[in-house]
Amino acid sequence: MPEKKEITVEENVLDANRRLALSNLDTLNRKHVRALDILGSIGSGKTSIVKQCIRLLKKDYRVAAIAGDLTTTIDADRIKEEGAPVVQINTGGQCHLDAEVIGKTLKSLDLDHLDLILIENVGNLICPGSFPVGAHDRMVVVSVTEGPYMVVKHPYIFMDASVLAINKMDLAEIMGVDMNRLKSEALQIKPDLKVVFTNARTGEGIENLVDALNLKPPRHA
Amino acid sequence: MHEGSIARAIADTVLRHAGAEGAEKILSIEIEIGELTFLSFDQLRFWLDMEFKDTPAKEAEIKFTSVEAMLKCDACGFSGRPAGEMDTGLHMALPSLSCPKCGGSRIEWIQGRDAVVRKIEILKTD
Repeated sequence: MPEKKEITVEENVLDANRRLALSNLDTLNRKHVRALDILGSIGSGKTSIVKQCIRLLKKDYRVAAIAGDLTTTIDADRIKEEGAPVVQINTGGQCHLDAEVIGKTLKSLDLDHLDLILIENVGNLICPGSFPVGAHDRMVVVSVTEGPYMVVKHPYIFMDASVLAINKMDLAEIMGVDMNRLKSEALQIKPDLKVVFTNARTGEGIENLVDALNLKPPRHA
Repeated sequence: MHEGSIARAIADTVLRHAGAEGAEKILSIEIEIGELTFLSFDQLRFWLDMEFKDTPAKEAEIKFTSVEAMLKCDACGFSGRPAGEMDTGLHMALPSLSCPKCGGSRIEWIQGRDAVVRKIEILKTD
């Protein structure tokens, strides 16, 4: 005669990814490589910002990029133009990069000869929040062409972020978007956030951005 | 958006524990979901129903509980709910990710970011 039994489980299903993220971070630290996780909607300018950062930093840093997207190699192809090693990850249907896929990708990079890895996450401002990948920092990119409510509609994306890039600054006036208002909303949500205005097409603001990211001279200099 | 992958992880956890106990049937599953995961209970339930089809959990009652976000401040020791400030221009409260007591930014989320399978009730023949 079957009987009822209560089983204590007490398992956090998000723990597996967190453990892998910590493992990735440990690997990066042992190899003295800094990694930055870059979040933003599709079309916000993440790839352009990655390209501009590589252009600015490659004389002082050995930089590589990891480009995450559901499909295509468009992002990786664009980043390759800057002469840095880049790996494209196609997630298929998954709406965020996770620590497992980043861990596998790190094995394919020559970490002994790198100082910095820029990880361009999937174009999504909601899901990556629950899935750390093991980077040292997170940067959020919003663009003025997405309208004036991007910050207030995604407040929790700033939980693990240290920098916000407000991109396409040259189009703010024509879009009727007040960048200072976006900035003050972001600072209301997270007072220690560093906010930088950028034009990733021309490179304006990118020096301020790398400064905000504390990208100091590399260890081999 | 990622309820599917979370549901798969929940289903794997439940079936693994039930299997280890020799369960013939899973009667109920209790799951606590932190509000900062932004997971939809309806969507999770939909995906879990698909995952549990043709398994001992196919008729299990799934009970979700929401866990509210709580933070702890490293600077002043405050522990409690995050605050929000009314933005009169937007007519809404913006959540604040800093300490509601001292405004400090060195905070740690002590709950609200997890998705925990707490317990299951099974039927088994000893």
